[in-house]
Amino acid sequence: MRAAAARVALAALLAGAGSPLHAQAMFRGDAAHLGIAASAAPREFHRVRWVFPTGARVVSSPVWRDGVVLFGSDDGNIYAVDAATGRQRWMARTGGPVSSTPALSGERLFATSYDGRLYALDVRSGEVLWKFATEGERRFEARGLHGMQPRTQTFADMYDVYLSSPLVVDGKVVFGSGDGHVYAVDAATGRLAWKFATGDVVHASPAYADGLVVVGSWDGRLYALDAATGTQRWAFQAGVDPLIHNQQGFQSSPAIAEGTVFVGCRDGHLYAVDLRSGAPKWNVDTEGSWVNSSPAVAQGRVYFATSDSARYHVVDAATGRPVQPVGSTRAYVFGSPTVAGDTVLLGVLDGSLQARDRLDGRLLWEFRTEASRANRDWVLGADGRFNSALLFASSWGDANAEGARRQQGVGSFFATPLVVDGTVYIGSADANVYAIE
Amino acid sequence: MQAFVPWRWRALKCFLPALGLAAGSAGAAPELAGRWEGVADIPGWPLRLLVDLERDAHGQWTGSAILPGRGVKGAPLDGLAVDGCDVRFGLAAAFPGGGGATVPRVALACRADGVLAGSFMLGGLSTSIALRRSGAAQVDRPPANSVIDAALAGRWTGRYELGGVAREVTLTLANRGAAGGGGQLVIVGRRTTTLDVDQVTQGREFVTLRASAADFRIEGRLSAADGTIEGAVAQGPYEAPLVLRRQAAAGQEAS
Repeated sequence: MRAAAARVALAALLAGAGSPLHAQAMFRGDAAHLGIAASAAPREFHRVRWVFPTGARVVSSPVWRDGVVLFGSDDGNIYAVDAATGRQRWMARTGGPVSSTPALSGERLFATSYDGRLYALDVRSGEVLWKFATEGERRFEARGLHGMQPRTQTFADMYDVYLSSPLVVDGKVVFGSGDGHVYAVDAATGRLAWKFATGDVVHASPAYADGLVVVGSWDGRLYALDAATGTQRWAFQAGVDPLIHNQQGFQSSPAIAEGTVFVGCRDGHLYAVDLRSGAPKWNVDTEGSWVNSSPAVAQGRVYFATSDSARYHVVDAATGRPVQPVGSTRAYVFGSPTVAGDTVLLGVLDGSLQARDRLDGRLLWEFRTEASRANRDWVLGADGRFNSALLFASSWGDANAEGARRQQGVGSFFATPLVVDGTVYIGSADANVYAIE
Repeated sequence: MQAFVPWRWRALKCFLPALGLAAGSAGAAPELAGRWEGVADIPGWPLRLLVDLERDAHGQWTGSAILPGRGVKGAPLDGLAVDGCDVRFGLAAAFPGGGGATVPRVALACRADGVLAGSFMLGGLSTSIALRRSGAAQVDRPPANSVIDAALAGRWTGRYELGGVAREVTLTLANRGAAGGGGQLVIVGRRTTTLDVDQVTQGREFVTLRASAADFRIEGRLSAADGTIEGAVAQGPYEAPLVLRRQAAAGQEAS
């Protein structure tokens, strides 16, 4: 009892004065998607406590319930794994890759699958309680995407790796779909409450605050919807790229704090938008580098990272001005930072999990997957950056997709780290989930 | 090249399994139960493989496989045979696109260094494989069939349309003793197909029925009060909505 009380007090202290104990029950921790862990991360690397192998890439981020780590895998399964031992408690099969992070509410787990369904499972047993079918999943696609040739050919985006992770609010499960809709489904019955049509794929994950659901679409708009009815309250228009569709779309999921929505965009910006009106407050221009990472917001600072430019930013939440020198992550970042005490954890596509000091940004430690250390196929150059000259031989046909697949061969971390009781849990493209102390 | 084996060693090798010792092992037989991890050396495409082996409650060997990167977790080992330190199994479930001669087979034997090494055979080809013990076994067992209750047992009919062709469905379900629920599915479209429903999962409301030989699945929400199963049929990537309605047994009225 005293230990539990001490943990609560410690977590509150770590999360910032006046901040509540942050849940670890859905993507980015809670409905506001602040990305704050319930406990501090280790300040130095000690060991890998266990490795749990799945059958495919893990881009799903783990969530936590009573000593059990729950996550999806692109092998089509949802897993419950004992956090202490790494042994499987249960496994539930779906009909497609589970590239989303589960959400927990009461005794239920909700997750989306590439089979186009939202699953409701019993969190203790994995029993299917109900499924809700959307109009079907698909990746973002466009003609001549990213400059791929022939330019009149429609290509699926190989970097559209995530599915929308569900949010549970007021008895509804809210999530986006590749069919272009945002859905709200009754959490108890699985019946449709409302749905809202956007102009393209919705694979970002909705956040919630003050009665509004906020989520971006690949149509280039960030939408605020009434959580009760699904009625649009406002839409913020970000950049569009009619030529090669590269500088367009929200893959990043919003975080909401103090009446402001913070979200990254593929148009090369991190935006701060007023929650009530959708009016822009400020933005950070990343010079064309995607911001797929979902920002974390803690103690008046916004933490995020970029893709191609491989930069780690910490800016003032009120002004967007940098409060730390911009750091280098060496390689692309799609994963989202987790603020865990005085440490910020970030998964990088070079197969490294990087731990940085929250206040000054210096690298404290990093863990690298075996594939990253081995650097098979010379995926990484001597400077640790992607060996793009080798990986991307041509813009014709499927050559880019093949290059992206090889990139992930180093065990890219697309997922967001979960930190509980000083242990870090994260899945990798090498099909493993790691528990790191 | 065939290795020369002196006759005395050959004779000894015959007795070792009977003594519970490992042929080919310099010392005691390694503990076969456990998680074994390694690579099959397919040229240019090394295949990562994790195999879990353990004895079940009846002392019989059982196992499952994980193929990271191929989307396979917990595939059962078919035809698993353990003879002393020799281990053989097939991986049909891990390679669903195969069949017949293309079902991969694995033959392993203990080496003196504790490695399980041997051959991985697929499509008439063979390559080396070596597995090292990496921990305790975590065998995935196939889910047991549910014992179905009165609300689900019985005869159900429905209709679905796929590819512009209407199909009438008659489903009959019952408990099959210790094997749990099962039944028969008759589909009448352009032709009549009869399938054995061999996998049944009945949850609190949600029901999944599978005819594994045809990869045919019916799933949906069971309403005992309405006498309906509202859901879908699916076969591979194809699916269609289906509502099944309970039919009265002979001499009974529909509820």
